Order: sequence, then structure tokens, then C-alpha cells
Amino acid sequence: MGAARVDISDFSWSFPGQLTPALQGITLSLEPGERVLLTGPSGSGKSTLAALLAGVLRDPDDGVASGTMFVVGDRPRGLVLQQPEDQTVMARVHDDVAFGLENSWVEPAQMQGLIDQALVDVGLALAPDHPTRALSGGQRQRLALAGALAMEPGLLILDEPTSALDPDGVTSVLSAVETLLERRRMTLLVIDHNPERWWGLVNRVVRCEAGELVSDEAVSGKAPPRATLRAITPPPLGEPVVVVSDLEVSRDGAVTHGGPLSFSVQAGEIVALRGANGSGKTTLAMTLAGVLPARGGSVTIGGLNPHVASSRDLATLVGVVPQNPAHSFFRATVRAELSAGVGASRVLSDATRWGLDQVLDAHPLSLSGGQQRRLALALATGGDQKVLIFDEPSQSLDDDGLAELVTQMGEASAAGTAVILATHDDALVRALKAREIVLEPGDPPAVEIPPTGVLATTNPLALVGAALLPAVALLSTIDVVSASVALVLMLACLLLVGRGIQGLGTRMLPVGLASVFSALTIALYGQSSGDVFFQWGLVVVSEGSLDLALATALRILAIGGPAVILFSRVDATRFADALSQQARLPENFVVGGLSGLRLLEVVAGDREVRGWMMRARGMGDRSVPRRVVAVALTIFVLAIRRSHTLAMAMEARAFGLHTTRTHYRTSVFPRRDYLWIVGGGLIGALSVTAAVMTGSFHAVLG
Amino acid sequence: MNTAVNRFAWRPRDIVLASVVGVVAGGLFVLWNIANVPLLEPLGALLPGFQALGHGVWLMGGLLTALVVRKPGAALYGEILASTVSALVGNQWGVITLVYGAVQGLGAELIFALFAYRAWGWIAALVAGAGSGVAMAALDLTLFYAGAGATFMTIYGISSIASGALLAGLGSWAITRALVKAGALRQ
Repeated sequence: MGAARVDISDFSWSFPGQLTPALQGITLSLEPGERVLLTGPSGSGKSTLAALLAGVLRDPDDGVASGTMFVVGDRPRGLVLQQPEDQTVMARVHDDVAFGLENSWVEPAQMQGLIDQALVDVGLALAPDHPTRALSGGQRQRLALAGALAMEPGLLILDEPTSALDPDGVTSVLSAVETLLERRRMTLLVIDHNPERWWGLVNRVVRCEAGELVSDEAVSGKAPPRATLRAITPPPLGEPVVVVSDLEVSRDGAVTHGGPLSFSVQAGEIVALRGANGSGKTTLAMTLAGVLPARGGSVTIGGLNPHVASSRDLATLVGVVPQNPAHSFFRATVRAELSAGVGASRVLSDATRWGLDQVLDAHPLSLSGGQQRRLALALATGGDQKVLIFDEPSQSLDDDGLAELVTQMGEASAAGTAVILATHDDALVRALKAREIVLEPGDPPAVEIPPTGVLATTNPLALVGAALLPAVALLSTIDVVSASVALVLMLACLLLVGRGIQGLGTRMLPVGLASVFSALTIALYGQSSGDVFFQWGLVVVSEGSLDLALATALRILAIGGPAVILFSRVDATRFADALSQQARLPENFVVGGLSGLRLLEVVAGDREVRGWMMRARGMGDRSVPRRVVAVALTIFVLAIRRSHTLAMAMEARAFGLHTTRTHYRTSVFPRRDYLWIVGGGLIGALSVTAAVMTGSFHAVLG
Repeated sequence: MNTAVNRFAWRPRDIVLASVVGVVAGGLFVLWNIANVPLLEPLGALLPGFQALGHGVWLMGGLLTALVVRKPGAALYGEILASTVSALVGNQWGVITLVYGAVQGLGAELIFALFAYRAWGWIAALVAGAGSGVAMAALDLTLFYAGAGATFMTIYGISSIASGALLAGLGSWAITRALVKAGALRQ
């Protein structure tokens, strides 16, 4: 068992449909145990090399290779990517670390030791069931690291693991890597455009530019100073533009961040909102931007309350650049976006100014990261807004991108715009000579308690069976007797086991309504027989249709009631366990569905920001359906983008290696759970028998 | 690296993509469930079968997943996953949703199979949507409207199929094209 050797010789790689190769003539050898840093500007081919070495670009569709690339060793390869939210696979911490072990058929008995050791090595000692959604970015990156480590890799590849993190997150990941390198022997390849962070941890630095390796040196002496960011010269300040007094902010209307704040921002001034994660920087920025309401106190911009202003007016007053610039875009082409943002007459001149004139007909979301950022900025400044608000503008930027950002902010400030940014980045704040407003740290988010009680501990398949068996029986007939008998029996069972099922009334209300509405429809349009009471067009209310309406109402209650109640406490992870272990459904699909469900939480966050940006971009006054449509498609695009990263992270952890997996969590189906199935079957059989014996059986088919 | 690709084989990334599409469609189902209870259902209850015209939205899990991923089984998987999300979040039908998901997914899947998994254009989408609509109508008419008269059943059935073909079929086809245009998919 040992560290891997890497031998790459005259290797080139092209993505399909691209003329320039992403990598060209790469020759590189890593000795077992060597620690190498790969650096270079954005788009230079670093991540492509990482993905190839990790073995996640092995499909013939992925691209064309020439030359040779060997990774020699008896251990798997591990890969950690840049985006923290997009590489968490499971809902619980230990399950997530176990993911790769399950895919590679590690015996369940060995898993716990590997998981515990991996979590200790990355300094993430959390309860096994700790929800992954409650983790910070730095914790998520260490979780991803633990997921790779548990597989005891011979080659560990870290692709920009700290670029999307705040300073605390960066420190925690660096110290985790330092610790694990002391404890484990493996070959390490780190990719980062901030080489100085890794100086003490690596012994070689390789630089990549435009797809070629341009230098390869042993690490010696001190880290090179980071390319110094040229500071701007602040312009003379004008009148106060933003005036904040006794302001209290809140993201969801309930939890309030920090104490009341009072300050003002003058024309041309640059103000940085600082504070730890959860201190409410983004919330404050969005309140100043007028997309979130003030919870107390007031904000005025040029004398107006931005939250009361119409969305159209707000867009001409305040420009907002969100953390992910993609959230700014709502239209199908760059041209349409600029036309809406700066007016049709200025499209060409503005596009040229921001270097977007070659991509006017491209879809905004298909642009590169840098182009998206420039477009977002063009839109936020194009209407000569008085205030410009940025949320974490420097995250994921390389040195060139950062220098460009500082220049752009400096220009805005020189033009008399008040610039407000929420940021973790000290270097950026220094270069901007920004005034700092420091927020108090907030309370950690509450962790929800998992559901308990009989419905939460029974095997979900037993509950599905218990609900479906009577339903199948009742579907054969439509009559009052069978439905009533089933309902009475179920109510009796509910009284026996149902204590502790809270919120039953709310759960049952929609079923009750559905039964009433369907009964109404049947009363009007049911099979008619006997006396006719009322007739109008297609409506025939008769003795027969009223009988059928009553039977319909009872039948829907008897079928829908248990279906809703029994499924009301089912947990997705436990359901998936049962589906793969007892129902033997294709496991990779079951676990894939589970990972998709987890990504939905992230997508929900996208939706929130999109709602803010819609108001900031002047589209918030539109009707609800138009707003929904405008948000929905881009949410979908972002979700698919995220799925590409997730797929890569999952494949790097052996997802799809086999069609079956071993199981860290054992799903049990104890004998008492059969009682549910038997009970369901009995209720179904008894109710139909009662209908037959009383002569009221009314077959549905035929 | 130039071995022939089996068009029908699922790669791990296809599973992840299908899962994300299915789950997003599940989110759409949830929104549609919420819109239906207070708004559409009470009004629809008075109609002689046209209420099914809006139900095609609940077929988009299968259609979207199939059109995006283009693999055998994608329609079935996507529709089952989307309805599972709907049931797990909590809706008015509980476990029954899973049955609907499986049957409706099968309705679309059969049509794509009849096209030998070679056609993914608007015609295939339209017909598969209709196929899924047939499945939905069959379930609705046995579960909710078993006592209805023949006229109602006919109008309801045709409305379901039309909604499946137009809303789910053509709608999903249009969304998929928009996704390709936005650079999210390579097709």
C-alpha cells in the first residue's frame, strides 16, 4: 500500500469542438510521496490536468488525448474540488464520508474505523448524523477531504480547495492538509493560484500557462510575495448618499442580525462590510440594496426608502453585483441583457467598453466566469446608479481578476458612485482603502431534531405496503360500505398506534378537501340513475350520482388518509436505504436520487438570490407568473451546472464503479414491521368482503 | 480512447444529471401541488372534465429527464424521482404519489421505447407526453372519478392526454432546447 507515481510524457488534450488544445506537450513526473503545487492563471489548463489525473475525464466524449499519462500504484486517487456546496453527496456527515467506501465495496465492518480516522485527520469531529447542510464552506471542504482520505488514496489531488473560502475556512483546510500529510504517506498535487498559501507544505512548484508547463522548481527559501495589488487613490468625497439610522436587518423576517447600526456613505466613498460567517454581511448589503426590508430603523438612498421604491426605480438608483454573477442574468442573449440594462442605444458602446462585443449573441450563462462578472458589472453601473453594492466580489478570482476588480471599483468611486461591498478579503479592502464597518458575529444556526416515534422508526417499505394494500382493494369497487369499513378500521388502528403523530390535522386537510371536491364533481357529472333532481347542460344531479358522490368522498378519505399519514415521517435517507437493500432497486440510481435531493437544498439558495436580483434589476414589479418563469429557467441551468461538478466529485469517489454497493447504513426489516403489511392487507380484504356480503359491491371496471 | 460508445449505457454522470433534473422537476411538482389546492381544485371541481388540462405539469419529471439525458429508463426514473420528492416534501396524496410516478413514467417510457430511443425531437416529446397523459387519466379516473358518467370520463381523458402532449411534451421539449441554448447541455 503506498503512494502513487505519476508519469506524464508529451501529453496533449483537446476538448470536443475547441480548436486550441487545453493541454499541450505536458511532461511531468511525480515521485511517490512527492508534494507538488501546480499554479498558473485561470483557464491555463490546471483543472483539466487535475481531472485527467483523477480519472474523471475517461469517457470518449470528453476529449481527445495524445501522449501518455500513467498513475502507478495500488491505491485509488482522491480529488477535492473548489466549490464547497457542489461536492457534498449525502445528507449526514458519516454517510458522506462512507460514500466512496460503499462504491468500492469496502466491507461494512471496516468502514467505521476508516471514517473516524479520516474525520480526525481533517479535524472534523462531528456527530455521525450531523446534517451536512449545516456545515460552513470550510467544514464542507474538510468533509470532502475526509471522503477522499477514507479511501486511503495513493494520489491526492486538491483543485483550488481554498479559493471559494473565507479566511477562517482557508486556515482550517490548510491545517487539515498539514496534519494529514504528517500522518499519511501519499503523493500530493495541489492546484492554487495563490501559491504562497502552500509554501511550507509542498516541495515542488510547477507553473502552467496556456496549456503548457512553463516552469518546474524545487521549493526553496521564502514564499514569493503575492503580486501586490495596486491601491487606488480615493477621490474627494461628496454628499452623503446612503443614510442608515438604527438599522436592524433580517434575512427571513424572523431572526435578527446584530444590533442597530447607524452610518452614512458619501458619494465616491468605498465602504467594506466586514464580519465572520453568519454575521449578516450579505443580509445588510441586500437591505441597503432595497431587496430585503429593514426590520427596524431606516435606510435612505438619496432621500428615498429603497425598499418602498418600485423595482424599476430601484434599478436606476442602486446597482447590485451578487457573489455569483450568473444570478444577475434573466435574458437569452448578452445583447438583450445590455439592452434592458443600459438602453438599446448604448449596447454596442458598453459592450465594447467591457470587452463583451464579441459575445453579444451568446447566452449570458454560457460566458466564462470573467465575462459574466464584467457583464454583471456593466448592468449594475450602466444606468448611472448612485450606489453600487457587491457581495463577496473577490471570491474565486485570480490575481489578474482581482486587479481588474480593484480598477473597476476605483473607476466607479472616481465617478462619484458610493461603493459598498460585503467581503472577507483583507487585501481587497486595503487596496480599495475602504472604510470598514464590522458586524458582530451572529448565533450559529439551529440544528433541527430528527423525527422520532413509530412512523419514523418503522421500515418505510412496510409503511408503503400498509398504505397501498387497502388502496388496491378499494380501487376495485366504489361503494359506501367498503369505504366506511376501511375508514373505521383505519381510525381504530390510528388510535392504537397514532399517538405522537403531531400535525395530523394539517396533513389531512388537503385529503379532506380533495375528497369533497371530487365528490362535488361526481354529484354533478356522475353516472345518473333514479330520480333526477337537477339538469343543466352536461350537469345531471340524480339519486344515483349523489350516492356515488358520497361513496367517492369516503373512498378518497380511506385511500388518501393512510397514504398521507404513513408517509408523513419518512426520511429520504432511510427510504433510500430500504429501496436499495430490501426492494433491491438499482443502487446507483437510488443513491443518485439522494444526491440530487441534497443538491436541491443548494438550488433553493439560488432561488432566493435570484428573487433579490430580479428586484434589483428592475423586474420585481412584474406579475407573479412572469417572475416565476424568468427565475425558473436559470435556476434549472444553474442546477445542471452544479450537477456537472457533483458528478465529477462522485466519480472521483468511485461512483458507478460497480452496479452494486456495500452499505454503511444497514436497513432492517424486523418482524414487527410485517404487522403493518398484514394489517393493511386485512383492512383491504375485510372492507371489500363486507361490500360483497351486503350486496353493495359496485365494480369499477366493466 | 476511441472505443465505440454504447448509446444506451448509463454513465455515472448520466445518473447524476438525471437525478438533478428529476429532483428539480420534483420541486416543480411541489409548487404545482401548492398552487392547486387553494386555487385550481375548487374551481375545477365544477367542470365537466376540463380540470385535467392543467395536470400535464405533473408529467414533466419523466419528459424532461428523458429529453435531457436521452437514455432508456430515463423517463421512468425521472418521473418516479420527481414524485418521490413531491411525496417526501409532503403533499395531498402521500404514498399514492409514488404509484402515479411509476405509472406515468412508464407511459412516457413506452413511447420513447417505441421510437427505439432514437427520436428526441418535438414529435417524440408530444407523443410521449400523450402516453404519459393516458397513464395519468387511467389512474385519476379509477381513483378519483370512478363514479363519473361516460361524457365526463371522455372529456377528462382527452383533456389529460392533450395536457400531457402539450404542457408536458412540448413544454419539456422547449425547456430542453432553452437549456441547450444556455450552454447547460451538450446535445
